[in-house]
Amino acid sequence: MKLLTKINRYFALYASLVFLLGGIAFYFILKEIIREETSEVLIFERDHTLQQIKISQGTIHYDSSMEKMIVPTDGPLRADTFKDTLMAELGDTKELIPYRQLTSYRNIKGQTYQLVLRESLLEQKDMIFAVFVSLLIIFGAILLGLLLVNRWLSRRIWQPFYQNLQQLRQYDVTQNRFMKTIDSDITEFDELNSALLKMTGKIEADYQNLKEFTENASHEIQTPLAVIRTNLELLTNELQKASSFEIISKIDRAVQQVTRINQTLLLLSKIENQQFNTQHPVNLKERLLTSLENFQELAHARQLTVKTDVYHYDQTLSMNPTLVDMLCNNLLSNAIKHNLAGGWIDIFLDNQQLKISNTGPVLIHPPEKLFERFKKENVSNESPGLGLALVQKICDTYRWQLTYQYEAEKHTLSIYF
Amino acid sequence: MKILLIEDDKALSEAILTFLLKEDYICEMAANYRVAEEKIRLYQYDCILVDITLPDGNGLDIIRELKKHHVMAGVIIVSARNSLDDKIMGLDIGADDYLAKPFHLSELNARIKSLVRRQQFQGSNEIIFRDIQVLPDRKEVSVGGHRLELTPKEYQLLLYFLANTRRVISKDALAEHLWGDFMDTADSYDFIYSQVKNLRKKLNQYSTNVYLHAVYGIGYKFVKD
Repeated sequence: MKLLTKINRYFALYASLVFLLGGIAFYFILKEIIREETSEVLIFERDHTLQQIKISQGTIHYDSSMEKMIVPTDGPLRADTFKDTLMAELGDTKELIPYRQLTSYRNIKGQTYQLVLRESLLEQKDMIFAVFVSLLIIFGAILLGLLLVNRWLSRRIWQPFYQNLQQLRQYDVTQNRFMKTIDSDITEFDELNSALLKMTGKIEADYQNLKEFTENASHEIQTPLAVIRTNLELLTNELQKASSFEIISKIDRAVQQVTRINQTLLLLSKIENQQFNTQHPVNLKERLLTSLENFQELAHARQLTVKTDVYHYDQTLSMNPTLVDMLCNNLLSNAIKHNLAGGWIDIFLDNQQLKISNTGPVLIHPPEKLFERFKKENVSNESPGLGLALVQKICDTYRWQLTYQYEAEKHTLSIYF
Repeated sequence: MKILLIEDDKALSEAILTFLLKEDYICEMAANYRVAEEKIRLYQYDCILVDITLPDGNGLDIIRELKKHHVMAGVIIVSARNSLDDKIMGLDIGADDYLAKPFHLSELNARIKSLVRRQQFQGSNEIIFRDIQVLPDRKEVSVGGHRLELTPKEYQLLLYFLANTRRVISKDALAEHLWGDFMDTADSYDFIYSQVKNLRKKLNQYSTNVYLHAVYGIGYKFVKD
């Protein structure tokens, strides 16, 4: 729910409560006011009638209409009393109508008279109805106003907020898409902006440091590795005992693994640091076929049937040749490595996509994990699990879409250019 | 055969030096740009191994210097940078080969031999080991006068073995030589095993010598019995 809607919802709730209570209070107040008014009218009427009697020197017009009644009475003189009463209407309907009634007793020339005056309270009903309708109209107007103001606000005042939000969504430090916040004259938004800028600045600095660290670390490791390796090789030729060979072999393999991991990490960070910027026209088909030739015998040794359909490809793209070779080699070595003996590899390339399908064992991990660094299917495998991370990184560099599908021991990697 | 090794890391250069001396090369070391420049001016070398990052200069500048003075020595760049730009730049200004650290000494050896061969015989050369004869420019192999039909990988293997005779060559070094960094060694061991077996079989078609010996767990050795 939008913030404004939420606020408005509470506001509307509060408004309806106020209107409800206000309406009830209004009802009673109005009713009381009208009664008071009517009472005053009745007193005025009484005084007026008594005045007339005085002027006409005691001549009393006996009257017995609904509004005014003067009758002689035997009872004692009593104080004036007001009273609400219902009277049947004259005519056919006989509807009961509320009246205010004033009863007075006066002694005129030795005779006690009862004077009864009545005033209809029918207006009261109309009045209350009118008030109720007005209240409803005002309430509706307020709700409508809220809605319109809401829209206007979200278009005008919230605009910088939404723009910044959009920027934040597109923010990606790995793709060099940074934040450029839009200023507003609203304190809260500006505070948020400055907090965001501070945070993203920190992220960028950290990311930069990390990239540099990875590259420097990998780079610094290369030489000691070379020292270990060369000395190990020297040592190999000094040895005579089979058991020593076994030890050397284990060390050698471990060094080999570290070397490979290190080189791949270095590559990944170099790609991230955009050090493969040199572009040349590259024919992907030729590169792919060359790479395939390099692996041909290996595929053959594992009794894999390799089928290629690359003849619809007829373009050259501006790319970095090393990255392209790396891509081809990684994809193909992957398809050979993670295959079943006697399986097959199907390579399809046209101007839109490169698709490599191969038979292979059932996946243990969820497919989306495949492209993460150090994620490998087979834990006992010596492969560090960086090959697909590298493929992913290269695809990212050229904004290619990389997808993976698996069904019934068939793995398919597709790259859409 | 005289080699100049320009490398600032002492441990590494010592190891390489030990190896090269064992391979019967005459080898000298220079740990920085200044010494390297001096040695190049004073002496003649057949092959120069250059590290790009030196404490007091850039290895690429040494290559430029060499080419300026028309020094005929072959140049192999040995770099930890392993960057394509360095490689292209190095080859552009006249280096003959590029080897990324860390490398196998047997690989370095093969590169040096191949380079020297190209340099000294302008390509028209042959490699002879006992009754094996290889013509590298025609990629032809014959044993005892009989032509052998080898697959490209078998040929590469043989050449590598011939450059590193009498030495134990690890399976990893072989795998890296054949596929670069792209094949994990464990996956290619079987293949190397079968390739070596095939190669041995083909050599023994016309030769009674057993050249290829498996060295327990680690690799192979190419010797005459």
